Amino acid sequence: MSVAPTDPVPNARRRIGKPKSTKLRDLLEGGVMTSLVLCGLFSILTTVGIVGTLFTDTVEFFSVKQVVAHAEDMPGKFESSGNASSFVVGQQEDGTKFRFLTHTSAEAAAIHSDEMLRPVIIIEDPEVRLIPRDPASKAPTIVLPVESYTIDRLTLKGTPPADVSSYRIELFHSPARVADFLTGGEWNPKLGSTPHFGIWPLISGTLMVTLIAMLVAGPLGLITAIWLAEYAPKRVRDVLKPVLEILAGVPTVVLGFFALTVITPQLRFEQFPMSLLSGILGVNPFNIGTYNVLSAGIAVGILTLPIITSLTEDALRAVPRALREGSFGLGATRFETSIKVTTPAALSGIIAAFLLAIARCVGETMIVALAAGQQPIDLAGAGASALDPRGGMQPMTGYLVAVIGGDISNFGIEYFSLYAVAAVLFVITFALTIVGHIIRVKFQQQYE
Amino acid sequence: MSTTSSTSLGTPPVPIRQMMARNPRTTRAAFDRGFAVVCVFAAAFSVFALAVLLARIIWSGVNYLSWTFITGMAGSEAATSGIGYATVGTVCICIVCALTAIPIGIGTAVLLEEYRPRNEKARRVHDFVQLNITNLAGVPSVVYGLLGLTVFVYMFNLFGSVSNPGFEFGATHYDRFLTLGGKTVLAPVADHNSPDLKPSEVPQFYTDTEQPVAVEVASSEDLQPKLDEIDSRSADLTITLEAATKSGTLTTVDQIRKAVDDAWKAAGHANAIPVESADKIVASVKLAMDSTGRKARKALEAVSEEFARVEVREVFPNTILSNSVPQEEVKRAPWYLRIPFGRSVLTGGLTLMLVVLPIIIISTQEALRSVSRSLRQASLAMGATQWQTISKVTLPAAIPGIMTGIILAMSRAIGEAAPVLMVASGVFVPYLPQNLMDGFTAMPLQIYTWVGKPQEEFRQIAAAGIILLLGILLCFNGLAIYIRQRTQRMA
Repeated sequence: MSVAPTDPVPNARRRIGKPKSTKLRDLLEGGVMTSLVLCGLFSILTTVGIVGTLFTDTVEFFSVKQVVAHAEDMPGKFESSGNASSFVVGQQEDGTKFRFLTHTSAEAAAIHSDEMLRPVIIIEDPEVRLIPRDPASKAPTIVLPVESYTIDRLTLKGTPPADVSSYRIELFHSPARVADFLTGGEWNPKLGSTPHFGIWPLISGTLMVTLIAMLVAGPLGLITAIWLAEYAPKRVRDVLKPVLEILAGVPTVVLGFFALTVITPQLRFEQFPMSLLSGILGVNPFNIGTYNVLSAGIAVGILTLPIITSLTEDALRAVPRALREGSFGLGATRFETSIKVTTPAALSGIIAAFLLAIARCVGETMIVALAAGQQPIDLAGAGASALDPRGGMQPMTGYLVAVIGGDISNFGIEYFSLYAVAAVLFVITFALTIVGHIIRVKFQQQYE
Repeated sequence: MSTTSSTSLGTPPVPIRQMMARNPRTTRAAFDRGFAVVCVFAAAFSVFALAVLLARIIWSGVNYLSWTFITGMAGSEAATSGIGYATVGTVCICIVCALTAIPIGIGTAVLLEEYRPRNEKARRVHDFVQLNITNLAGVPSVVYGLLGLTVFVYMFNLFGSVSNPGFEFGATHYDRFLTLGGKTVLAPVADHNSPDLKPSEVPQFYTDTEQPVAVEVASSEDLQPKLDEIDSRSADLTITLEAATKSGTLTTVDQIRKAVDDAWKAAGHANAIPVESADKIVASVKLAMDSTGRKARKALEAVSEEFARVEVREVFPNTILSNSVPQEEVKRAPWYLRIPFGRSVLTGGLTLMLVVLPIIIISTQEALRSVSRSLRQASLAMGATQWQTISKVTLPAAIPGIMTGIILAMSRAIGEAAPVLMVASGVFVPYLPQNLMDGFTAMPLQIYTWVGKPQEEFRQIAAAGIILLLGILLCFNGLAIYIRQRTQRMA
């Protein structure tokens, strides 16, 4: 105990590094931590950006208003009484009169054919806008909301200026309403005609493509995965796995080309003597259009096949060996083991894989833009007969591409309709992803 | 034999089980074998699909693959169209995408895997980020395109438009004037919103290469006497030439050229007449000799016009009319930036970054997770800090996995068409991008346009483009598979 006790800390410090550098190191550590947290925040920001953009522009879609008639083609006069005023439609030169109508286009059509009331304006949420005739004048544009209306009179809230004759009159309304959007069976955004914004024709296009794709990819993917996990010799696996990876890496535009130039002509069975078949059946069942949902669905199926296969195979491989060996030990064949033991054990993973594949089908864009057709079906007019997979149906993603390809400006109802459709798309895929995640996390069996 | 043994065991009287029990070996084994055959067919489908796809594309496109196709620009004719400009566009946006997505992606993955917080609240945030990334991976790419359209292209319409941006860096605005001598000269403008300059107000003109140049500004009245002189001289020349050709003293090309040269010298110019102008004049004279009537008169008019034009060029090389109206010109440096980004290379790259970011994050996470725990613990036990452990131990060990993920993500970015279509500046882009703010087109977009055209030739060059695209992607995928198999062998 003659030796004076030394401080052990300086020695240790000397070994690790100079004490001076710890401050710098802490600073670096803090800086790294901050930048990593910023990276993490970026992904949150992306989600906020998607949700925020889709939401605000969808709101804009339902509030943007479109001109339905000008004073030039709608003669009339203003009558004022106290606080309120009304706009009364006068006769046109040929004796016809404008009629303000609401509600269904069927009602409008009935009156249309009734008498000589040719011009009919269907108005929902209308407003009257007075625009100064002289653009140089400082007079403001005045918007007068419509309080109520009869067939030829609009009662307005507020009074128009005294010199109303120096204004141009426009009647405008919002063509998109939330209820119609969510339940409507007609999608026709074109200007000129009465626009209809019912989402179901686009959704049914998407669902049709998804259904066909899953009919192709579901069984094939499941069986291929079982084979890869339970049966296939290693040499075959080494060939098949890269093939599936390459198939998964094929750009979707290439598969669109494939659908259009290979699958569609093959589905027509052009080499087969069709006249014989039509003679027997009375119709040709392979009367397939140039753009059709069937070939687009098959191509999307080829696209999702590798996804289903690899995810299902992963789920099957996660099933512990002991379960299989127990089954074999009881005398079951490989077929019985895979159908009755491993597949049920891996069910949560398989369902999650299928949900992910469905989400991928719903969001698939280029194949359907090329091969599924450019025309939304008319569910309101044609009903269920429009759901013919041999014909073209425009899915939601196809609509987005078709509109963006047609050089639109960054305002106007068509532009905002993109965001409303994309919002529906996002909600569907979001729900599928979350449900898949919950199934995978909550129902996964733990074998430890 | 087996039948009797199983019935004697007293199996429950369920019909199927009875049937199987009665014939257990053959039926069940047949099921097993039959299922194996079905499996082989199902598995063969994907191989078959890929084979048909490749065969069809190569069969219809290989004839169109040529050097002019690979380097060329898209046009209205299938035969002369090329995919070169689209390839350059794809390379540009993928570079932007890689430079942004890789650091952010690896950073997020490191945060999620290596910095797991211990207290309950922070862990919840952590789990939320993780779930959020799972969700982002499932968002359709076309939705990312719409996000790019709002956020990058228009920037919520908060910062003006592309033609009148709210912020600019690296651009110089000029008013461009044309001199009588046919040269363009530039006058710098402070602000692109200012009204057009008058030539007399410009203190100093510059050439295209930014060299100062002396320019004389004159009104058309001042120049009129000289212009009249030139006009009369060219009219005289025409008359002389016409007379000479009619009388037969001028017959050969050389003789005509000599007469033109003489007239030029007689006008008192020091330099010789420019060769292409002389050629033009001689050709016109020859045409006038060989034809009659209106055609001959027109040819002679052309002679006089060309001679006057070339003389004006010679006499007033640097003269601008005082009433000439300039055109706006913007010179953009290679580092030109503006807000909003517009439909530019930067927008395309950033939009693709959003698409591939979840892929990079998830694959990097998997790579980090596969690094053995003991390596980290050893490093920490040696006194290394968290970041030293990550940067010197964990990340190097995970590099093969990360590289595979990045390569697969980039091959996704190359083939991705929908989000790029949303933000690209149309399909026909007749120039190569010179800076980040220039428009672009990409290979998948070009292919999409060609496939969408009704003519069969366009589908064939689309197939040729697809061969090129698939070639690039196969290289990428092959590299990824190679790296993975090598590391698997090493492990």
